[in-house]
Amino acid sequence: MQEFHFPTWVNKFTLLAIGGGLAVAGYLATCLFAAIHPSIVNVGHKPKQPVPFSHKLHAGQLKLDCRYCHNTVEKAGHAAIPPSATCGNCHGGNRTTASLVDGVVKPGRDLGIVHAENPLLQPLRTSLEDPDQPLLWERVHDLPDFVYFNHSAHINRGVSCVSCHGRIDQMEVVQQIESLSMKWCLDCHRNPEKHLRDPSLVTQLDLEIEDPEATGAAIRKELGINPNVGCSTCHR
Amino acid sequence: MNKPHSKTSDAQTSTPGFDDQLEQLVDSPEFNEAIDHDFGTITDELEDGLSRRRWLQIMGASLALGGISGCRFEEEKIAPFAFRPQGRVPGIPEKFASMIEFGGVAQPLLSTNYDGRPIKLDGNPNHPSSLGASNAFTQATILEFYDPDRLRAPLKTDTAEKVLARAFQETSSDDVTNVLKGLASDLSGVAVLAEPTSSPSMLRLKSEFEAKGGTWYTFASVNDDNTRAGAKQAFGKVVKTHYNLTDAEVIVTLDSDLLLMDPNGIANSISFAGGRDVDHGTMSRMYCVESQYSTTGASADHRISVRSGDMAGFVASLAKAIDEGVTPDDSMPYRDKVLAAMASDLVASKGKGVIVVGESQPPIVHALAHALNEKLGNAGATVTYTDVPDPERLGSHESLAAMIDSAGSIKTLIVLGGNPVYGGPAALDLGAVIAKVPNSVHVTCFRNETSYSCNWVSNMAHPLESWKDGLAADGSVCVGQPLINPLFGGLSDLETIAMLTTGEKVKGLDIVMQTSGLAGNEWTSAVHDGFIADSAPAAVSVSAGVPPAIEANDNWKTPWDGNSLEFVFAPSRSTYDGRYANNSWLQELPDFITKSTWDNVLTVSPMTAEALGLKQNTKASVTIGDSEIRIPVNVQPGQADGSIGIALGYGRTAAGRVGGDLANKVPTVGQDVGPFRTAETWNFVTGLGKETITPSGTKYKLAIIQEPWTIDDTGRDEIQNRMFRDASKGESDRSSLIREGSFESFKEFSKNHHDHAKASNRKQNPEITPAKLSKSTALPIVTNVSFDPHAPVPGSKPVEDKESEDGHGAHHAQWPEAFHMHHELFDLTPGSRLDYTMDNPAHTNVWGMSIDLNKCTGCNSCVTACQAENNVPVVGRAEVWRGREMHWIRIDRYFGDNLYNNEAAESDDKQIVHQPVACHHCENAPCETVCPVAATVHNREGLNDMVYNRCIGTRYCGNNCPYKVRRFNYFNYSDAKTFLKYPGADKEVPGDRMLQNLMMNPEVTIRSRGVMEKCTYCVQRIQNTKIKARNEDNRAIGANEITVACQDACPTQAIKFGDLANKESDVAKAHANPRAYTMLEELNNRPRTKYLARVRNVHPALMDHDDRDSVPEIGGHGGDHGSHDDHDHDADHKSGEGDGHDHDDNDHGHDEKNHDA
Repeated sequence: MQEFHFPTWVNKFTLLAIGGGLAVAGYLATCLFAAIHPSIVNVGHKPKQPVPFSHKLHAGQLKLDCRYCHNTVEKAGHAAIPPSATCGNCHGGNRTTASLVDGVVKPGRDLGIVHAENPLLQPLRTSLEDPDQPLLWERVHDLPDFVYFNHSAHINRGVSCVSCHGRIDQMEVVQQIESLSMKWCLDCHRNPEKHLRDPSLVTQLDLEIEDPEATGAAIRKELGINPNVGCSTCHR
Repeated sequence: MNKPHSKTSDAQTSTPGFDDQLEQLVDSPEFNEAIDHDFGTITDELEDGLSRRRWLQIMGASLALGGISGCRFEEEKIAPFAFRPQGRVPGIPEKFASMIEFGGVAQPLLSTNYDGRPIKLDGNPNHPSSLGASNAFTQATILEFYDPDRLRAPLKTDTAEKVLARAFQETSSDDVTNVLKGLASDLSGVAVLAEPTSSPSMLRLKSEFEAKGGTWYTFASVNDDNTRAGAKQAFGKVVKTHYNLTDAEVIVTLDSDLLLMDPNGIANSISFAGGRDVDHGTMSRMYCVESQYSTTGASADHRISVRSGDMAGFVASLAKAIDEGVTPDDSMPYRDKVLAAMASDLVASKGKGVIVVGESQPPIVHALAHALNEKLGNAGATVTYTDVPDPERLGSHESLAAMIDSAGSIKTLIVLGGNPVYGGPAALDLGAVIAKVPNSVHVTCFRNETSYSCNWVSNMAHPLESWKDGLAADGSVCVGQPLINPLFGGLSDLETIAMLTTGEKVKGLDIVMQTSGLAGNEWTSAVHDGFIADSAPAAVSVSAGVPPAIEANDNWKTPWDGNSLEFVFAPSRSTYDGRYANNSWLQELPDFITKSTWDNVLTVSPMTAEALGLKQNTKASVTIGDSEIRIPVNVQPGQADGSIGIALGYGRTAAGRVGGDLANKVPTVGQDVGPFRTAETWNFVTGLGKETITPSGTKYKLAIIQEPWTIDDTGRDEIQNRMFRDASKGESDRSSLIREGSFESFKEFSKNHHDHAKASNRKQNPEITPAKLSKSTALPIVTNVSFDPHAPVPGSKPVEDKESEDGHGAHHAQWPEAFHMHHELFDLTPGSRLDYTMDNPAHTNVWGMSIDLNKCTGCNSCVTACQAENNVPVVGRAEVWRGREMHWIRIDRYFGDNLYNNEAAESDDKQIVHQPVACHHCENAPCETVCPVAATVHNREGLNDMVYNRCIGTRYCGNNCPYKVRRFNYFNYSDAKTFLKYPGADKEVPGDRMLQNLMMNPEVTIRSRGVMEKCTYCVQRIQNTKIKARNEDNRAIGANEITVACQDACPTQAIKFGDLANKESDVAKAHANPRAYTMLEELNNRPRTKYLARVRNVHPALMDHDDRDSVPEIGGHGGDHGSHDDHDHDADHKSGEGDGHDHDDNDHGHDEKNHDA
């Protein structure tokens, strides 16, 4: 029986077919990479928040310390979004000072009169009047549920907010600037020096350190910092 | 030769050491199934008919949907408080003291609340009756609290249909409160049927209620009627008896499970453990006489089985022996000798003895025991009495009889909690009685059998949601605050009764506060502490007077006549009286002795089983009166012949989607023995004939967690090898899984161990003798080991005796052998050999655990505590059967023949050792080397980390783990709906899932399908404590600061955890204890968990051989055997001939095969 042979003119397409196949594979791989890589998927995540709170104004121009609002950051794993009452201190009118007497709301003194009637802050006022309607903030920095990150462990060791969150004090709307991938975490856990500073200065986002490596090394030695890289440090 | 079992490829060959049943099973389909037990097989069908194809469809669909939704995680919203409560830090758990009542005794609690919701209940560490310990019921209450079957609204029914077919409709809470308020004006026709309680507030409301004309009845299926009646008979008034087991030198328990099922069990266990501090020379001797096995019996030094019906005769004989001053002598038969030893011990330790009678025994036996305690001077010393808050309360049956007598005059009946229709005597037909009352309200958290007889069902607030009080084991007043607002509204039981009496809503807080009489700071500190300080009542002095006359008889020692039977109805260790039937944690909790789950079983002794033709894994039909049940058989060595045990609390017809709910077509779990019980035969019934039980022959595979057969023939042989090694062939006994020895030898060792380094002559070393293998059942065996300190560890280089050279002190001496390995491991001085902890100079912590087998009672608290802490799912009956249970810690129980007495060894009285096994965190972990993806690796503190996200589910690690502690999530066990793990799982709706999510510990990942998991040493607690310590000015972690969940729960503090590098820590001390040993040491895994050998305080007269003289020469022979019991046992390695050899002269063919090999 006659065997089938490809005609010779097919030969000139062989290279093309291989090349095309590789190109398609490369394209798909790029798509996949783009679709899952943390530095692409996560960096720049900038969701719209229920009230247009500006860190640039509050932390940058007004120089509010990070811990005025995120006051659990030194004690707990969560930096904790502040309760509405914290906002209400300046923006709540008399709502934060109101008290409930015999089931009747008794208005308090007008303390927070800044933008107290601004329509953009309506969700805030709603939550102050009815605690069952909290402000629903969008989470920007979202670690997977199997990762257990602890803010206090880092803040108390001299890792500044800026190392992970960037210049929040210059952001009108907060966005993610680091990938928060495991590799990124491990890079610092293995060589923490350039992210270490005096723990009392961690909230100074604009702090310029002359020789970060040397300063960090000194801090590391002083505080006995020896970051864990074992799996159960973050995964439990 | 000299091994109990030869390796044989011929599966049909009779293999001694296991019973006939197994031999027949070899190569049968059942056996092959059993072979698969350890890791199970991938079956094509899930139980309940979800096929693999269907699974793939579901998986495919979810994949497609996943693709559409993009690659970023789901967007999350953060909802902060509007006003954050003072002191609340999001993400930091808070602890609150509270209490719940169990069996009429307040159990002090410490609840862990996470973001405002309780997620874990532990004992209150500041309360002397708890010291932080809790039992499995307390631990599992948190699951009950979030049970989706809880009533969410009041129900009402207008139809007068047959019970269990009544249609309910939800109604508003106002309807029910209006009914209650309407009654307040005239309480004359109103009756309450409640459970007995010690709550001062409830008793106060009760007297107010009665003063206004209402009537109060009490009933509980498991109650303390006999105990109270016995006290009344002895002393003329009802008192509560307290036992000081710490100071007691001799403890005699008679049909009493004083350490577990007694509502005061936690306090008793603490007290018991205090008297078993063998390392400081304190060791009580406990005798236990009982018909069924109890945890108390398993912990006893001497136990004999006596039918419950013959117990009175036994106690009378004991009284007689005490009177006559009998002392044991060698001419006596064994049982007489035990009695004589018991009597002479009690007489010798006057004022330091305790005689305890269990609730099942009639009042007269209690009265006699009280009289004996008084006579021996124990009363007022180790046995004290306090007044009870409700001395006038009638017994449950008297109270029910009174209610039925006046049923015609009851216009409204309030059934307050409980489930009398299920638990009550069947002959009374309480369901019909209640249904005939014109107006009835059931106040309950769950709709149950009783609800169906009532017109209204009021959704009671759960005890964790309400204010309550009660008396703890020591009689002190506990105050319980609500841990959360009621999830589904509703009034608490106190508020309900207050509404009845006052016609208004009274806040629970006000009720409890008013009862306590406290205010201001005193009240605040009582709420904060969970109890009122110094409120324990003072002991009262009572006189037992003339002991009641019970005729002493010999029934307790005469062998069973082969015909007459007794049935013992004891509360289930899982469901108690049925109230926990809907609790899947408890349903899946292996019974401490049968290790069965999701069923109640009929337990019979091997001899009784033979006489009745009953076989393991078949069903038997039991007929008493007009009732018949068919129930699986469990052959139980050590049980009294002719005594048959069936647990209460199963066969619930309206429990819910776990425990059975016929109205919603959910099948029941287990069988209800309620119909067998009458007021007269409430705890046991005697005098029945053989015809009561007929073997039905139906095969029924029990879901038993610990099985006698493990892998295959080779594996089975290997298990035998591990239990017993032949010193004559140079094999060490170090591989023994279980070690125990007598207190005498331990004392001698302790006295001499400073000279231990010189003790090169092993004859000077303490005894420990080889165990015989029990053949009477195919169950794992306790071994007792003959130690040769110079025998090499198999498979490893012989360790030189370095002790005298390296200057390490005598504290490294190990009982019963010089054991050098452990100080090599944990010697952290520079230059010593490296281990995992040493490769980084900054290391500080070396985590380790120790488990004291001398203290472990096998109570299962740790198993449930671990389940609550680590989000361990339940898997359901069918999966347990396949060996896929997920408990991170299991308790192995080993039966052995009496190691110290030949006569006893020939009887069916077994010795038991419990051994909790969790991941050992081996430094040389075999699991790690086989993982292809490095999903299980060591961290530098020596933890064997399991990385769920890396795991691809090859299960190699599980196969390579010699301890079999790794658990594989075959299906998505944490999701009840996709995996139909319990009968009614398909009834779940999305909201139910949300409810159960509230219970999960957010500090621990919820594992998914296809992932291995195992004990992490509670790594979340380690990490959080480390962070906390470093935040607090970089302080060092306290020596015993970190506790793990199983350790917290343990009532006897058998489990210790901590830093081995810190010599001050309890665990480091325990590891240096001469009793410490590691399991399967010869594998050189270097586990971080060590066990402390069990010590048995054997009466000298009951130890018929001196083990220490029988330690063999290497290569020598232990001499000939004594008499053999040839009907039932084949492996007569009596400890008397304890020579490290197993002369299996009942099976010569076996030996020959070994020669061939």
